[in-house]
Amino acid sequence: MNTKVILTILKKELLETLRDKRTLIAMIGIPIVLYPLLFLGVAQVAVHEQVKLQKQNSRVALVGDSSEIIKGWLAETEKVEIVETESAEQDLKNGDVDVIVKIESDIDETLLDNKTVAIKLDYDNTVPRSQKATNRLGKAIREKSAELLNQRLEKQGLDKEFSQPLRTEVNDIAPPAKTTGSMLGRILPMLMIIMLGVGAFYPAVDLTAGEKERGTFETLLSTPAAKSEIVCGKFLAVFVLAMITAMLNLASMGLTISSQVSMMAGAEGQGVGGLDISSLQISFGNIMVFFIVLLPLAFFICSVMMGIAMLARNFKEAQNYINPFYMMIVLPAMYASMPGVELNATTQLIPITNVALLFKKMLIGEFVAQEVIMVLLSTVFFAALALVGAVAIFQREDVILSQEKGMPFTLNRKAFVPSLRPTMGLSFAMFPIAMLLSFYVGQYLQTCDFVSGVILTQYGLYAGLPIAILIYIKVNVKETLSLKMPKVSDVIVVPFIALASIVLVNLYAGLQGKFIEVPEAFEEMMQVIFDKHNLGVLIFVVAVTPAICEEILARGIIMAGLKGRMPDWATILLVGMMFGAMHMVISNIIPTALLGMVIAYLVLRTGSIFVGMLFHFINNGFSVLAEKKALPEGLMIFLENIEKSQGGMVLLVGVAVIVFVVCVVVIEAGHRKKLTVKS
Amino acid sequence: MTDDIEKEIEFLILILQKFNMNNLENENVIVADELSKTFLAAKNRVVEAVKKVSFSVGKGEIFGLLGPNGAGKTTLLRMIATIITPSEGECFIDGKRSDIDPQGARRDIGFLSGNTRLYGRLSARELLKYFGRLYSMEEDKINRRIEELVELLDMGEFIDRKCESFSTGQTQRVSIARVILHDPAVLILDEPTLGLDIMTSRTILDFILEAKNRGHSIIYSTHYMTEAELLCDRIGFIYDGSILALGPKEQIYGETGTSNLKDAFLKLADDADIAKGEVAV
Repeated sequence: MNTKVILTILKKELLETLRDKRTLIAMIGIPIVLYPLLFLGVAQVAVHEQVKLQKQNSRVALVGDSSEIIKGWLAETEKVEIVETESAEQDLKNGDVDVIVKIESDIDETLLDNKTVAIKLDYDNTVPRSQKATNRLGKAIREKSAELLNQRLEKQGLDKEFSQPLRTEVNDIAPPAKTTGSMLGRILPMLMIIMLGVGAFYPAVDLTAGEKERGTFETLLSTPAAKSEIVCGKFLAVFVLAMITAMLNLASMGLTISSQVSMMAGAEGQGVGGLDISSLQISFGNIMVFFIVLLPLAFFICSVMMGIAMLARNFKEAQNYINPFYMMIVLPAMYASMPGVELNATTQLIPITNVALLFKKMLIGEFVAQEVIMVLLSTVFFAALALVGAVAIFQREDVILSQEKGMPFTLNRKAFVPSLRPTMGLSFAMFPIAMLLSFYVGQYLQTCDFVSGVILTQYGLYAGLPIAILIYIKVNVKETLSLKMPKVSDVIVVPFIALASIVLVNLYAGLQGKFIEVPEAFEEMMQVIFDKHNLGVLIFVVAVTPAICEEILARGIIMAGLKGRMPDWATILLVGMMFGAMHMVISNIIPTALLGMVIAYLVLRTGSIFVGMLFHFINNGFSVLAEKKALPEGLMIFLENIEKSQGGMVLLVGVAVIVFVVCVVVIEAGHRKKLTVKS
Repeated sequence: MTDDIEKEIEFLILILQKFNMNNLENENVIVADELSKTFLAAKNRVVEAVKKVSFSVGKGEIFGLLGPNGAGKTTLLRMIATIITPSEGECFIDGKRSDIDPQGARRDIGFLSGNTRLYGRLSARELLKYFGRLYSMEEDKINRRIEELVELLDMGEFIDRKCESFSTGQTQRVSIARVILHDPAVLILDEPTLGLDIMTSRTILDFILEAKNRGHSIIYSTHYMTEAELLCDRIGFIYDGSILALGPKEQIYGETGTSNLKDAFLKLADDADIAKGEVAV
């Protein structure tokens, strides 16, 4: 590779991008101007409102016979004004009164009897002035209550400690820096990742799909620059621009927030809400580590975004493609910010999550070099993989010279031209649509009634709705769903590869269980479902239905838009990952994704969705039979014995690996034969 | 025995000719040898965009490539320009085999088509400098060459303006400058006068004739038959991915019994359709 050529492309891309007003506004305008303006504006308004509230008197209406005594208690309370009113409730609603004090018992008599006077405060939680009034009154009443208690104790000749048999003293041993670091650790890594995504988004689209749309790609390809040099030059430009944008955004946001926090903390230097930025001491070494890990992360995000944008034919289509990925990079960052999620042997290997968790640890000053190395290695690995993917996509003539038109952005059916399979944009869009519908509608339906809920979700949302969309936009359903009868040899292979996969994926799930526990609530819910329904119903609902509907969505519609438009391995990986994510339970995501990848591979190679459905049915059916203890008795005993003996387990896994490999070889041989016949 | 030796010698001469190592006997700068390109379309249907096309272009020769839209012209030109790789066949550019040394081949090619546009946010000068660097030219040489081209193509008025503000004529002149900046042996020009006014077209055509006189080998693709008649030394008619006729225009007139390229082309296309049984008799 000629570095001079790469640098020439890098310089030109930077120059051209920086000449674009849209980029300048997004990169520099927003961080430098918008954040300070936004925060200053918000802070000014908040301070103004706070000062106004402090100055205002709280208007209190008294209801009941003991009003005069209350008046006496409140006489020395500052900023409290007793107002006379005929209809206190109405005045509170109208905002003429801030709080109503209601006492139904006789105060003197109740106190003389050493009983408790019930004081009721009516206020409007949505009105700040009413809230303030309630706080002021509450404080005054607590003080009066303490005074009256002391009087009672004195009268009885008792010590003050009589009323307080137990006293807790909470002592936070965390230094202020750790507390602040822990709080920042929940937001800062996520913010950093979002900012990197924001920074990479526009250049990744502009330098690839944008260039295709402007018709300059072929001009560049006609020069002696090699494709790998072009990708590297462009990638470096995206990387530099993403880093600049992320740094500018973070610096601007950090400076604005810290100046605001310092201002609000006042002259004493007290922290606001436990956040004391001044206590946070991040060493130069930590900052260097931060950058060292951030670089491969930025590398990873930029490569994936560029690879995805490259697949699009124009700017708009690229934006549609990248949006789901953008959402997907936020999820691992969000997962890292959850309480209890820590850097361990598994999370060190999850891209994005690992970096976010390392930042979190760094901010509280508790990271070790070994973790940094592991996170660095894992991130570099994923970054390299993503870059290799981007280069592979760039090598494809049909992708880089693609000038097909995208799907029209309209609901008018006449605007759609009949096509054999959906566009990649539509396939990517189907994933978040299915996720959202399943989350908002499916979960609700299944809570109401499990059986009908699953049937409605699966046949309605996963299969029916996407097929209806395909028909509406004139996409060939048969071709898209690969509705082709499989060869007998392929059908014979499926049970073997399915059972081998079940063994291997369960082995993984067992190992994963040491780090990611299955949520108890989920286990209990599944137990209730399995106890409640008979085997026939469970086979239909848990095995047959998902085998049909989830396959239609994942290996049918989603995969149809991706296959042939990216390398097969990328299609398999993406479809598997989306399939895993669709299952929403964190402990299930990776095992389901792995199974999803095997099914995607089988459907891709055999060209028949029925192969996927059979695999899916065997997998789910096996789980149902195992849970209902309905497997043949001999098999049950065999499995139990195997589980107890370590040697037996090794043997089972060994056999599963061999069966899996043999099945893959058979499938590959069939595929090659098919290609030879075609050619 | 003697026959075997003769056959072996013939084979060696053929190899030497292909690799252009015997320049004394062979002046062919572009050699397309049975170039084919197949695409995988929907339903795994194999589409043959170009079918075993062979021709050569000598030094100082203009080869006209004529054909209707969708005939395979752009795919063929892209293969010769090494932007896409042939499914079958070989192509030699000034002795370099394009699939083995595509970068080397591209150094000797100037490629202009409707899909090779300019960077709108760069000025013409910045754009030419950028391409000069991609062709590994020295900075001094790039600057000297730009001044020459400014004069040659009358670009003084707009050389420092951004390309996005150019008229069609100015765009095409800068594109031509970009194509010949590195003084390539081969020019591949796909519809260079499309959409231009008469004056600009004449400038471009004059330039092409000058380039021919300077010894450049040119493949010229156009829809304008009169241009082809005026410029081209030899013509290749491409239709449905295949070359229907190849040779000097007089030879084609003779073969088709016509007197101009338009009639010759229509005759050849009709004959091809009839041969395929596509025209109802």
